[in-house]
Amino acid sequence: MRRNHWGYTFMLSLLGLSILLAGCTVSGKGTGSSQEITVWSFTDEANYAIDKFEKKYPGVKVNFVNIPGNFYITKLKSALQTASKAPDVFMLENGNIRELIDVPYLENLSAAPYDANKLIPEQYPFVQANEKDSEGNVKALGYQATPGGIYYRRDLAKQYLGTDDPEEVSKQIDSWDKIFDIGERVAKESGGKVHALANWNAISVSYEGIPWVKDNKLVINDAYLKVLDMVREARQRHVLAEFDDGSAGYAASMQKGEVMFYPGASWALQYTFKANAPDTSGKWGLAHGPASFSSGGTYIAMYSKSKNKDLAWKFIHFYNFDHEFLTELAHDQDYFTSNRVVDDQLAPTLTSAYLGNQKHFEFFSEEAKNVPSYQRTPFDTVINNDIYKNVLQLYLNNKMKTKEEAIQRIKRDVKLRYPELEVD
Amino acid sequence: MFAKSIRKDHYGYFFIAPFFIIFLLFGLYPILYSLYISFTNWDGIRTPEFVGLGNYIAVFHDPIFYKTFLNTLFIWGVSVIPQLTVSLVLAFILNEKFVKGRNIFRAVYFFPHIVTAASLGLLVSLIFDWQSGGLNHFLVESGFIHDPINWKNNAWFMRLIVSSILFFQYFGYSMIIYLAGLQGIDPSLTEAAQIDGATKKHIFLHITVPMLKPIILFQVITSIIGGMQIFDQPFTLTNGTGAPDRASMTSIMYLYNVAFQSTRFGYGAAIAFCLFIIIILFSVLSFVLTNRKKA
Repeated sequence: MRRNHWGYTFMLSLLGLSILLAGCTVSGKGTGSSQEITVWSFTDEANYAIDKFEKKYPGVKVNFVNIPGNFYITKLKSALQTASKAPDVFMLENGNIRELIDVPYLENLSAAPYDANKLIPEQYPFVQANEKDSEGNVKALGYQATPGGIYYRRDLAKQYLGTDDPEEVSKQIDSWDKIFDIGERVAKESGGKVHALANWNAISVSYEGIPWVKDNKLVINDAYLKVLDMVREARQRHVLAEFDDGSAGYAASMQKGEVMFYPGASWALQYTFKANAPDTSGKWGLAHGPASFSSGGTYIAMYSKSKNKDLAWKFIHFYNFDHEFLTELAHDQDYFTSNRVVDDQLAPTLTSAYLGNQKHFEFFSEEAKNVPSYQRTPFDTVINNDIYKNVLQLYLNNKMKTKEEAIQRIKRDVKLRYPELEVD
Repeated sequence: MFAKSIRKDHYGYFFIAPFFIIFLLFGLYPILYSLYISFTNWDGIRTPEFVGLGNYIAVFHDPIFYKTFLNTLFIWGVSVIPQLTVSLVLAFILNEKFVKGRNIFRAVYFFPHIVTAASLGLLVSLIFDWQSGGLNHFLVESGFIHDPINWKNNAWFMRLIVSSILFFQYFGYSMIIYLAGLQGIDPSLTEAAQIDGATKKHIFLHITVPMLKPIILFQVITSIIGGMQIFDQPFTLTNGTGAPDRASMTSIMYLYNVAFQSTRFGYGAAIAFCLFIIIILFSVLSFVLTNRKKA
């Protein structure tokens, strides 16, 4: 009898514990079958590719896990390191690619049987520059190309510039001085209702990607210092509408027509303009701005300990180099891919109704060829986003009076953040 | 009729075992693991590199750590002093039998505590937005100002806003705790004082406050622990930046930025343990101060 009591109590405790622990187990399908792979991403855009991939290869199953937000990278790192439920294929954002490119958990795609070096000439040089690790091996492939341009409201351009033709507009805004002149005039003529640019970041975004570190030493490029003066001048001359990126006012300004020019990358058409201002189809145009730039971008990598490398590579190859699929993706999703061959084929014919039937692929193909290729470092994202942009705002708001103060502050913060770097 | 001695069976241990097993797995183990991590440089993916006390030394030389710590102290101090005093007075008033509809007031004052901290931060952020904020719209439309004010550019204003959100959110909660304490005070004490001719003020100062001392101590210590952990409100208010120039960034926001945005887990863990020690010191200090005997 006494024995039974012990048994019951033990069973009950075990049951209680297992119920509690069950709540903590990670749900997800395993990748035991050789015809199954798991793909992780921080957006849901891969759903389209997965759907097409599964249709092309019947019998193959792709388990897609979308982890939006900041925790994606933390979770990914933990999964790769512990090999626990790690994905076979995973996406990396432009901001993280250089930090992770040298990590051994990324399969070397330059090696056989992948031989990615023979494939990447199809891609734009600035995309290729991010795909290679410090030894020159391809570790990730950027299926997306993100050249930028100046999105403008055609109605405002007609009213204030006398034309809405992309080429004519491009000529009128090929330098910051010209944009500032237009901005000052427009703010005056509209009684402060219309501005040329939404905020300071509209200027600084054109210089993103310039490396901050060379040979383990902090190097402050002159362009970054020039931007400090430019944003101050832009504010003084009422060029900026002062809507913070992502704020409600920023989104509304697109719909209302309060800002003339929005510098943005290729993906902004889909994810920024169509999303924020769906009722303004046909009212937009794309013009070349003062500088060619790229912003953002997604890269796809393979887990080096994956048990399904053949299938993983099939998927990666499909997403980057399957011309038929990439053409469909471009048509259906207005998605500008990194594949030059496909883009060049589409450029003469593909138009966007949202952009007033402008040949946007022609525009982006041209811009993508002009985007500078930088040797970016693992430090760039943090220095640019956390340190430089903070200093830029302090300088803009006159919390820092001189450029020397700004430089000293950048140096101090870099020293604190990266003690291993040499700072003068 | 009754057993002469207490039966000392071991069944009880099985019933309490699940808690301890879970605590060991999900409480103690992560704490000890964090302590180990704090002695390493670890980015979450490469092998942790042992650096001894390196991270702790870096924390002591980190001006941003001190800045965020002082921000936290200021935000906490400015919110907690009015919070604990106003709620005590409110509790005292709402404990009086003559106040009509006191149950409604109790509920109304408690309502802000039900709203999630993140929503409050976001709401206030929208109100004080430079170009599209409700307050600037109101001020411009009513002709008080010509151009919208960039509220979020003012460091002290932002700190005060965070303090105000905290006060708004927690005064009702403190009031309920005080009310519970007040109901535990023997009514014969106040009645005796009234017979002796004591005024409400005398009763409040010489009976209510001394009798509530353990409750006050509880409130002070929990508010110190909570105050050092302020995160949601300034995070949502400033979109995680602590703008301007980390003026409204609290220690925990800094810890979050370091550990989860920059993925410097070693340094983040070191900050966490420094804060842990500081919280203990403050708690002990407040315990000693509130318990010291009058000379």
